[in-house]
Amino acid sequence: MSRDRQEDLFAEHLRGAFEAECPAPEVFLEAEWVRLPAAERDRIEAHAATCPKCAAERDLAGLWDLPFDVGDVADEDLAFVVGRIEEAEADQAPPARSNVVPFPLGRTVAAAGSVDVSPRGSARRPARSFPAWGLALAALLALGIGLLVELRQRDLPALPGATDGAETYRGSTLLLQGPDGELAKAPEMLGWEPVTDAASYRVSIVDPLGEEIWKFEAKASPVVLPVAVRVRLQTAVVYAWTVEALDARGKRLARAEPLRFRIAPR
Amino acid sequence: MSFSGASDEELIARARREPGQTDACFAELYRRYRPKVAAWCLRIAGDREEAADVAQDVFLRIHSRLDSFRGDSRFSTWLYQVTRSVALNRAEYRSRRKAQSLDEEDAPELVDELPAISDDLEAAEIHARLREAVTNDLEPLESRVLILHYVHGLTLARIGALLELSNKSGAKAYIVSGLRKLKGGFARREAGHAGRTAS
Repeated sequence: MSRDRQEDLFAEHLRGAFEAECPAPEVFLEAEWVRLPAAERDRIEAHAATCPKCAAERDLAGLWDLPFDVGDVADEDLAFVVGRIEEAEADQAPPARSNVVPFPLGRTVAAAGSVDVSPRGSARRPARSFPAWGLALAALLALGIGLLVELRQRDLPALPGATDGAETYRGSTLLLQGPDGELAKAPEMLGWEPVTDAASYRVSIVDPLGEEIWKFEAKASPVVLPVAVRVRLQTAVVYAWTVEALDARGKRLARAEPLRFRIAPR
Repeated sequence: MSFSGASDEELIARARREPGQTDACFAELYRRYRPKVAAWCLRIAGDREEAADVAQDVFLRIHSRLDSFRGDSRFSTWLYQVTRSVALNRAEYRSRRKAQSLDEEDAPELVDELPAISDDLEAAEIHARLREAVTNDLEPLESRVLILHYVHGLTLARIGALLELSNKSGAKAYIVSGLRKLKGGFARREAGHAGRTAS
């Protein structure tokens, strides 16, 4: 018997040796474990105490329960893999993102009606017939024209170009550097001009609904945006960020006018 | 209700209640879980290219299987089931492919330690004896390493990292010692069984 076949056969038997008696692997997830009745937990505990397969499953489930941004995963690797997932999703079909807010901030695009841009729809269905495409195209065109007209009527300021810290903007009393405007990718740093007598700076980012998605107290500019935050930033969504300068007692010395940025849609 | 503030269960319920919001609800769930899936794949694969391939497969799979999610379990649990299945099937395949390209110095050493399993035995009997030998003869760490490698297909390097093994030869040492014990224990049990049958 070949070496590979011997190993395969051994693995097969080893798998079979523990298959019948073991609980489903997902019971070891924290969220499932706490939902089990006490008696069931005791029974599984007793089994798992002597079952190496369950011990291994517990190891794997434990990795799932670990926060994704703890130290054993490098930020760059996490961002790389998340980027590849997004690519795969984009290849399937652009998901409808109802919380995507186009410029100007706070205005939402009208519902796309019958135009189905969902990953589910595209995964299930063959290519659309011409009339359906025609309708979809017409709806999108109408939507685009309507939005353009509305933008003109309201005379809203255009989105500034990306600065990424190269240019300085004047706030009320505190000068923010980039990021600002449309960016090719999630910003890695937030920068501002130092304020005399400031002991620390309170940095915050809010989403279009005004929910604070990140805050941080920094000693100096710039601050690195953690990958856990970067990966949560969505394309085509406008985020606003600002900084407050604080003195040694935590009293606010100055506050910058918020800057807005968004990551360009793919 | 904002999407980002909703729980997974609220998003699922809304997706079912309002068909027009289904895609947006699932888009939010995807956004929420991309980093978690990515991190788990990185921890299992150890190599970011492989982890990215696995993670892409996971999301392609859930795209095509969303209809099969009935909402009986938590979304995160269902996602774990899909992720685990995709990752471990790939890991198993990779492990076997890798085994074929192992150094000639290493491969015979491990294979020589595999327990000799008689063709005459029924599968159920083999499984029972293996289970007994693994449970009784091996140290808990040895059996965990064996299962992670042979059943789940994790590479020795990943097992070393996962279990934080600090010895010089890492998981391989546990594989070798575990297989040796298993081989001896399995042979003893087979001999005992043969003796009982003869008498």
